[in-house]
Amino acid sequence: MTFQEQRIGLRNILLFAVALVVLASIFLFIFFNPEYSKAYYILVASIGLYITVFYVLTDQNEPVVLPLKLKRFPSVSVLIPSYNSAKSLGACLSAVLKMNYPKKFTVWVIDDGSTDNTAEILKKFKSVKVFRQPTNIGKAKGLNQMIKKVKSDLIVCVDSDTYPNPNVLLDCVPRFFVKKNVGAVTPFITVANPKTFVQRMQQVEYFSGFGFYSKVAAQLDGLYVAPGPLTVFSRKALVAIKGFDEDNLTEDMEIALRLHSHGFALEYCPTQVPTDVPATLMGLYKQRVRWYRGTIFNLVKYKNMFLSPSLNEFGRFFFPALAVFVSMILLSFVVIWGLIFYGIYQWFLQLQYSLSVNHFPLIRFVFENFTINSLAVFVVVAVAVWYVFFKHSISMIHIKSTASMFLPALVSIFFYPLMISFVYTISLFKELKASKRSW
Amino acid sequence: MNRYVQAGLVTAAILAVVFATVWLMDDSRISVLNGEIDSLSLESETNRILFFHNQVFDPSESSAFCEVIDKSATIRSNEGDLFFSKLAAFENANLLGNYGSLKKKYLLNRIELWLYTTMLKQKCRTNVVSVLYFYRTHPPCAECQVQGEILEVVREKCPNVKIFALAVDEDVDLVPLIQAQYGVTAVPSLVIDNNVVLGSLTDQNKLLSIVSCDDKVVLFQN
Repeated sequence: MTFQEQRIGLRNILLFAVALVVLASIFLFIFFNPEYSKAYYILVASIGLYITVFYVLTDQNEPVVLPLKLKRFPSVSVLIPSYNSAKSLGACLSAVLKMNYPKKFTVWVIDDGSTDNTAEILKKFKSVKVFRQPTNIGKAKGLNQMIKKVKSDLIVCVDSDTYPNPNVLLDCVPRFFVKKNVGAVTPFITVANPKTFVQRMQQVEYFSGFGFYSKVAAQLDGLYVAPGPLTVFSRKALVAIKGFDEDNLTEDMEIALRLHSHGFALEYCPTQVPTDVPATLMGLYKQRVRWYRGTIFNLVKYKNMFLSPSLNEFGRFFFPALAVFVSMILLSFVVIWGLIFYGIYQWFLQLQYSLSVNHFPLIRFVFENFTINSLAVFVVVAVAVWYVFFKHSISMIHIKSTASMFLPALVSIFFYPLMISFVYTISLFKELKASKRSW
Repeated sequence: MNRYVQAGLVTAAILAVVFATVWLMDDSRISVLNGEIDSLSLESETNRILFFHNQVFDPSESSAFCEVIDKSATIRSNEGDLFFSKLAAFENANLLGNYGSLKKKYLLNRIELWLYTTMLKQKCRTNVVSVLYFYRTHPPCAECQVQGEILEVVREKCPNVKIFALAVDEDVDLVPLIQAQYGVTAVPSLVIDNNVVLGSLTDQNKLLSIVSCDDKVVLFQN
């Protein structure tokens, strides 16, 4: 299926639903009432609570499948696509070569027509094989060419800005044998050396997203991303699904959905794989536009999975939940930014009429007594929901929460809903515009 | 049991506790306000009977009459103002409670005070300035909130200015009647001393130039 053909098939129920959400958003925006935000907040907190309870119960009820002690370890090749990543490639290769594994494994760097000093760095690593492309053809194409070449049982795809924990292969490989038809095993992606505040916020985000969440999702066959930083694939599965989609913004999500649609399962192992993340807000914005456009595109592309009876838990719960999640984020945009615009308008009026600005939305002081807004109870619920995911996640990799995490966590609780809803809405419009062009 | 149903039941149980907490918080606020509105109503009753008594036994416009009216118009007005800001703050913090009857009771109480004030100005010599302030809460009106804050500042600067906030969205028949009386349709609107009508958001300086500001209420003897 080519890119163009996928686009033609877009007119469908899901897009209709998205259109409805957009229309509802416009309607809400015109007739905005701050009271709506209360009802919306209660709804979101309740859904979040349900998902958390569902996750915690699942985690307790499912028997823990211990990885089998393998008598014979499968053969492994590591593929590292690299394009002008001389800065991180050296550290990446050192980490990859230090990975423990009972068998020798080959490391391939796919040099995708780099124009920096990548070649010099590669010279330092004698054991690393290099597959050089004369021009820049893209990550997915390069990987697909290599997949045809290598003959090992497993293929580990590693980004050139990722520094895996030495035990990642020993931990992840046995997970291929816990059930039938495991197509890929994904690790616990974390943030490498967070320095800036933006990176420290992402560290907190990655902890809650790639840890407990992914662990339970895997138990329910509900992983829908094979993270780009590091995923171990079975070569048979990659060949069966004909490799990566070469024209997709988030090929790591696309390949996970395609594995599901071909009846392959994704497994999880809680071993840390630190990766570089954007250091600035602008970098984060660009990365997220790419992610969210990819998510919206792939949701529409795999609309057939929506409540598909052939896929058990994934089609019944995770795929619809993801669609609901994306729709709710788009609605959040209207509610959150509606409130902000209303607040700014009022603030502007207060300034204009030289009044002192005193707004305590949740706690209000009334004649030396204070009263707590009832909505604060739901804010507590939402923060508790987040904390359950965060706490379970960091305990999985034996990290203790430190004081330095507190401020990024606090800021991200308030900043992420703003940012994600904003970027998702922009991504949706970019995606709709792109679809129209090709229709 | 199906794990989706199981999670649903646990969630429902937790949400029941959450909503019970919210209900307790809302209810405790409403009962505080109910207690205060009851005492305001009781004072209103007392004043009304006092006024009636005065009309029956001493209908001449004596100083005693003026004092009775003044008690209603100015002293109770301050208590009402305090109650009103509490009501507004509590309603803002409210999620499940019903503020309809509280607001109606307050509104009626306020209209009665406005009538007393008008009578005081007609029959006795006083420096009280009455300001009728029309506003609404649903749908929200940012200008009204700002106007309210401006009036608050003016009230603090000038104790002789009495503000009567009338919500046009409460289902009280008297309010449209008073609106029609002054030809007011927009919100926020102000009617100062029952003759100057300001049909839009009015700033502090303009208000202070219209009202004659005094640092206390004075009842001049005839």
